[in-house]
Amino acid sequence: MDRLRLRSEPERSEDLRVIHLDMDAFYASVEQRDDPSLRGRPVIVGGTPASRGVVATCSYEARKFGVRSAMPAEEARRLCPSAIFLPTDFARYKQVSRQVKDLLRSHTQDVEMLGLDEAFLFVANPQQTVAVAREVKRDITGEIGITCSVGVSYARPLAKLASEWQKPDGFTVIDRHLARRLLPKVPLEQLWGIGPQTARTLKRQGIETGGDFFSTSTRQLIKMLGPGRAWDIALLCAGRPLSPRVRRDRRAKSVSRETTLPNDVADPGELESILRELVDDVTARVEELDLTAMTVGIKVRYSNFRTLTRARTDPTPYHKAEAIHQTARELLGELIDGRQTVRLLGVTLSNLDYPDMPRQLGFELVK
Amino acid sequence: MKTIIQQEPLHFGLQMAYRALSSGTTHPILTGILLTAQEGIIHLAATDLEKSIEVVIPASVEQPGSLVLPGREFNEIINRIPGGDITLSAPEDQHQAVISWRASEFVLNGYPADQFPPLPTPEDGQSFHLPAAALDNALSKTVYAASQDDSMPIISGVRLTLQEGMLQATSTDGYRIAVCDTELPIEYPGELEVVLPRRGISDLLRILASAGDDDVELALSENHIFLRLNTGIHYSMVVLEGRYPDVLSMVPGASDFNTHVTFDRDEFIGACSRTALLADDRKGARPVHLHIQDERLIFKAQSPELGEAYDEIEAQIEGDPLAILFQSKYLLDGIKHISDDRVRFSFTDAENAAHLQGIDSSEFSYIVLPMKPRQ
Repeated sequence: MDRLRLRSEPERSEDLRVIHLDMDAFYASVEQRDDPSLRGRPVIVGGTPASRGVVATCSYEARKFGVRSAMPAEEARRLCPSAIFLPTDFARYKQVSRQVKDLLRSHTQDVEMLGLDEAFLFVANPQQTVAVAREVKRDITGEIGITCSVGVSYARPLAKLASEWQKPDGFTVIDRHLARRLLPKVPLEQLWGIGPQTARTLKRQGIETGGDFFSTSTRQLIKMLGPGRAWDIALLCAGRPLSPRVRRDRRAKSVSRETTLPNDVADPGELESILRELVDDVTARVEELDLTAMTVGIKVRYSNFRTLTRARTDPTPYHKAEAIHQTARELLGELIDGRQTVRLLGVTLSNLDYPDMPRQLGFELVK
Repeated sequence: MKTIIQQEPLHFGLQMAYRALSSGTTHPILTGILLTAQEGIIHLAATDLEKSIEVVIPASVEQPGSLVLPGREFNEIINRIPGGDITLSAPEDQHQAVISWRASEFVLNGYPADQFPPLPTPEDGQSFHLPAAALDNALSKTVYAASQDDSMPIISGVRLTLQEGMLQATSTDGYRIAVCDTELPIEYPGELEVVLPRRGISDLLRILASAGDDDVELALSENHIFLRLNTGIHYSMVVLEGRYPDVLSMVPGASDFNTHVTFDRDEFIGACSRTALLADDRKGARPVHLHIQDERLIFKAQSPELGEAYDEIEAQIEGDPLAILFQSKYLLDGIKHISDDRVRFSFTDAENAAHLQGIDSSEFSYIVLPMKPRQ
């Protein structure tokens, strides 16, 4: 049986250059930091059971009860009756996120934020990476007052795997030797770059780890994933992911997020609250890339799998999150009537304006 | 209807008429070709309601008549017949044509001729002649610079004027202006001012190519322009309505320029298109930096993802050194339509329109605005 094989890897000197930092239960931690009476108690940020909202983030105390992000608030209350529900205070989290970013920039110029609560840091001298990572972790805890989990490795996906290895308040280094030992056993859905959809597709064929992946026939992998994706995952599972010189989403044509709801929902209030989370997320990502969007689009998939999209373009770029929220809400209003149940909701910001791109001058044709 | 016709002229006529057929989903009649047999001729017509093509071809007609046949299938059938006489017959009121050639026979279902839209006709009186080659040249050198978006419909066409023996075609998309002036021989009087839609022009150019050195006859009605070729082709299209912006007033004059650079046309095209390969393509603009200094014209481009490119060509420089940024496509579009071997590029500064022209002929001018770096 033909299987995917990689060329033998040349000996490489130690090259730990990437740090991944993940703020622990970010929204909930900010709330607990600012209100001492919440510390040590299960805190759930997001929608409330009354508004039929969903959990955005919950503190580790709540996680012990089985509460998870994206879970309906009502279910969270059932699992953890003592939980304290708080509304999302996005402006404040954003402000804390900016402080985190500034702090990270004081350690290394090369910082890529991923949303509000995650970042990659790149260190030029690999001898110093572990030390820088320790300093960063110490300073975040000391100056921001929130714990974080930190992973150090030689490539983005491995650094991310490292930061998730022990949580909360973790610190993990994965070098090439350790990666080679770990990867055959790591569940594929834990690898950054393999989404839930792909993980499910592979799981259905009994492929759950890197080891399983490499013992599957080339033909079957290509059939499931296509050659490009199959090779991408092969490199990832071998701990040799292709590292682009430029972050891919710096050249993004659009930024989007969608979520399949745990249960089908018809209630406009509940859908709006889920939409709000999605908009916050894409807005933060676009802002982080120093881009602005001119088009806001939303996508609704009803329970019968009929999928509709709506988009609106504003000739002046959307700078304010509030304007994006407003547009998204209006577009959602066109697609829901309170009776039809929805299983998936998505938001796309597109028509991005690159502030570093030169601008074509034009003639004034209309005077 | 019954007629015998040679494959070759019928094939030519169908190829021409086919261009006017409506594409995509549309009324079946608009994908059809109207066939009318009269004494000694067959008349083919196709239209998408905005443009129409009629072709007259000689035939021996035994019995006149008309019907509409599905354009694609009719064309394909005739295309696959290698030559010789073809018999077309259509029983009265059957809306079916029988096409026979040797042992081949096709019964092709059609539609009644009365359902075909009436074709526009020129108003009586004014018509005049132009050399087809001059019209072809004027439109080819300008049509690509007409606007591709519909935000300002009038500039999605080419403005064509004829005045005192001068045929002028002008186009713009708001970022560049192409102007082609052709002086006609004295035997071509006439006056004209019309804006032809971009889409119609591409069909028209293919038809004009069949005219060779012949003249084309032009006529107008309120909404249409009509062109007749000696090859038996009549073409009409809806003209664009509205006031065309006074783009000629935006063309800088000789006294505005502070830098002139002269170089070999082909060398410029080579260096510019090579450099553009690694230009930033995020918005499709592919900007290329030009540096004009020390008897050289330097091209630079860079893309955050792909890398960077450098090239240079020899150039004669008059005036100040200059660094300026353009969309590479705009530069290449313009220079490719200059027929001279040597080209002169004139600039005011890095933020104003620049002027591209052949060194020996002033017939064609191309004015292009630069890009402005941010920050």
